[in-house]
Amino acid sequence: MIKKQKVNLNVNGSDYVREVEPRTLLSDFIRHDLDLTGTHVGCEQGICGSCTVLMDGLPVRSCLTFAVQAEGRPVETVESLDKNGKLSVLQNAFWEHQGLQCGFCTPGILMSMKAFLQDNPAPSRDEIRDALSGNLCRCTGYHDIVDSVVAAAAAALSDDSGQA
Amino acid sequence: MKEPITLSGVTKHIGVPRKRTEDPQILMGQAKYVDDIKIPGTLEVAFLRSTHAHARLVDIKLDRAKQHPDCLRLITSEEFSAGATTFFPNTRGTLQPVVMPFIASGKVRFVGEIIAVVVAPNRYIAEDIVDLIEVKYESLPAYSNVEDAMQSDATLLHEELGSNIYYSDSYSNGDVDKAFADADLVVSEKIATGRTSAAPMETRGVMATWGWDDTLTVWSSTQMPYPLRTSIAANLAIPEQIIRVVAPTVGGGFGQKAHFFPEEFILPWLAKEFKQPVKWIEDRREHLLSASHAKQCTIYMDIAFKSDGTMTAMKVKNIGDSGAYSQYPWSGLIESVAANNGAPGAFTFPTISFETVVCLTNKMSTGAYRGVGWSAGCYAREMVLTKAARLLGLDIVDLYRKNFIKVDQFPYTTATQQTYDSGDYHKVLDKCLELSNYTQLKTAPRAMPNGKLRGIGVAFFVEQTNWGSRSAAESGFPATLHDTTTVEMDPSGKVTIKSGQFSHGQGLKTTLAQVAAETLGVPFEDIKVLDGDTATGAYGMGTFASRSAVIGGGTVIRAATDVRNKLLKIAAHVMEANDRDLTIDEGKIYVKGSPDRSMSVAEIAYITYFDRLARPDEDEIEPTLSATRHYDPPAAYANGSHAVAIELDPETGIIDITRIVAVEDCGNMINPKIVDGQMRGGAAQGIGMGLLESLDYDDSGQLKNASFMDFLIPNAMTLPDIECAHIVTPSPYTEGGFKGAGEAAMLSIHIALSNALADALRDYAGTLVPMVTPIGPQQVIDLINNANQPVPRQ
Repeated sequence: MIKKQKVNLNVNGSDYVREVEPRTLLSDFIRHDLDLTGTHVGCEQGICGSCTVLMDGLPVRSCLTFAVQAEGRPVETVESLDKNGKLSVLQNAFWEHQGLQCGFCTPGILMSMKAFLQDNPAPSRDEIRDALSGNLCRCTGYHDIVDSVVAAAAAALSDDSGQA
Repeated sequence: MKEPITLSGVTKHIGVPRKRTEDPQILMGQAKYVDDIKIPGTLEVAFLRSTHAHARLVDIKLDRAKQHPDCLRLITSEEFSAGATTFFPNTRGTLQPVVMPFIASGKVRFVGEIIAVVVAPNRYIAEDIVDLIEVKYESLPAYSNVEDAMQSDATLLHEELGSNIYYSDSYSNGDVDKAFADADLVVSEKIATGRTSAAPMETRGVMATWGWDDTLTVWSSTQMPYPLRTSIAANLAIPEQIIRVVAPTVGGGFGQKAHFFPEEFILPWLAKEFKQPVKWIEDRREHLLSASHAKQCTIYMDIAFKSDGTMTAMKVKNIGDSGAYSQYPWSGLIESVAANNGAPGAFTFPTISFETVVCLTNKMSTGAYRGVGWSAGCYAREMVLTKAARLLGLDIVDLYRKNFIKVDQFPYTTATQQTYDSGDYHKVLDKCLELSNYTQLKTAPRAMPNGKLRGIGVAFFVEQTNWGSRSAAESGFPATLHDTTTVEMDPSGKVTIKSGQFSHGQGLKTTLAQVAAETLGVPFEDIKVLDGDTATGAYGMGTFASRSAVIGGGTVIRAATDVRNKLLKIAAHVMEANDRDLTIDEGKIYVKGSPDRSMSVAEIAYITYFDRLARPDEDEIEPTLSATRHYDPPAAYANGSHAVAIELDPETGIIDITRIVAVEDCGNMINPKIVDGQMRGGAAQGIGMGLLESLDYDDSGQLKNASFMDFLIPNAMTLPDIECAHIVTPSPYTEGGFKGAGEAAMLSIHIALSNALADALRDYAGTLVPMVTPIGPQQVIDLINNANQPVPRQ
């Protein structure tokens, strides 16, 4: 039996203390211990990007991160984006421009793009494609995702908060 | 043929690019996929899969695994060894079953085949236990290509068949020999299309639980909940009525999830046997090894031409690489048979002969994937056309215009007896040429200042859609396929659509609601669509083969028309009017021309349910506001065209795609935005198949690239924007004039891409036309180096 280890972390603003096996992936921990199933696992090899979450505000592959590595660090998942069912500027742009089809890759893409737009609030289409290249999508052909991010950037710039 | 229903009332909902109702839950991370369903006490399953491509199982040592304190169950073929029985009757007398066993018994035939099943408290532990099982294999010769497997002295995968070829047939129409003897030009080529995987972002997954009331509930990431229910019932030998199959949110399928896989039997079996909930979620390596593969064919194609470019006859031999088994329900014929029956494409030549051969190899079996059969078959035909055009001093566009079925020739029956309903191929092609600036780009020099070569390619396709029984039969699959939908209005006037089809990314909940809103005359927001659950729907075949908009839409039109007519009769009684004088618009029923004399749909619905005195006598009109209707439509054929512009680096063989134009005619569009989504997504998968994707097996049958690191699918940098345009030729045969749109680019964009490569290389000596997919850097360099080698004949 593998000895469990205590982990303290903050996910979407709430503090959690749990005992986990050291080998527990952050993706499994978020999904199965915390029941936040919006974060998806598409390859477990760090390639598809579906499991992307923000740790210390930066995108990480939660399938390549152990839960114990998130000790004491703030983690944000897709469930943090809306406010009581009101979609964020970014989510709303994806809805408006059909930036999703089956939706499995979508949570990872939203988290990647949230961080990207904070760095680059007015990106070109090429810059968006470059930033998206770590997230695979099999349904959309990416065009409508790029449209969504362009629209989110424009809407955020004219929004009071300036946040996508 | 019965006249289709023409949509009545105002067109407020059909043809509207409405936002999808499915999306907010997905965007908030609230949508539930199989692995998101939680039942306390659920145990997890991991499989021991073969590491050998072809071997006898000499010994399986389970002792160490069984001693693991958390090993709850360990199952091998000793517990059961049967394979899937299929629910479709075998209507081809010569087709051998070649069924994959649920658990390998005695012998394994591909890397990834299930040898043992471990049940443990969670997946981590289950995989620990799998590692403790020791298998002793005795290797047999393995075949990773059909050429070797077809040899007469090859070791047999299935000894009882007596051969590794388990199906062959032929067909001819007209005097092929004479047509070839009379030809001015014959072009003969061997074409090899690569092996790929649909690779949806959500892998497969199954969960099952046995209830206190002796019912079995199965959640599966499937495209066809009802056929899966029928298959589970037949194989578990329990009544179908106690089984509920739920496809929750599903993360893409593309045909791959329209099969009955061993895991979809094993998990329900475990739940029934041990009365505990069990779950298995496939990892990506398992997926690439053991979820159905697609597209791999070896095709020998000869086309006869007159000197003016007129096609006069075609000969085809298509050898399908089935993998180790025949994947049910479609069987290993799925690629070659569909390819050959669709061989004439958009063209009028009358004379054809084809031969279909299906051969076993030591790889995962071949199954359905978007554009099934046609991706390979169309590629072979079109690359031969491209070569012929070059030899005749013409452009492919000249051959298209010369040989296209003309707009006044519909309905047109092809050389393989497929009857195309409608279309305007010249108009669609012209639109694509215009948008892509094709003619001007053709005349520009190939060499660019940066040392690259520019190329432009175009391709045209006819897409067989809406697989009902007739469409399937025209494609060579005499299966019975149809769907049924219930439309039900409740006492508040709101409407529930109970569908047997299933949306796994296509936005079907939105499109079916648009059709219902249009037909009934109620607001879109008042419609709720239930799908993907056998407890709430009506028996249907599921969503695949570009069928749901046409067949699902058709059932909704029929059932909603019945409900509307009933509503109008009841309203006529209540309002003391003639029902023929009434209309319904956005939830309001009124006398035509006098909108003031009105009642709401909700008022009439309430009266129907609760006011016996106000509504008509029930002997006169039965007071139910629901209708269940069935649809098995005539075949309908969509069409379209793609243009691809590239820049080729002739030193490295790397192709950079700079522009994509897609034009499609899928008849009346229900939601053009969703159609655009299908076109763009199909284009991406078509580019993946044409440029990148290849499941590479070595000579011993090991898959060399079973991860997304090595098996490349397109990312956002692979593709440019995808420009879409539409031509609308409604089908005269189908309800609503709809045709399917799902396969789309998988029939042609890889051809446009290869044509762009041929165009980029046009100044080289010889006639350099690629005859393989994908055209990665190595294939491009090979093409340049191997110019003018003679073609070996089979």
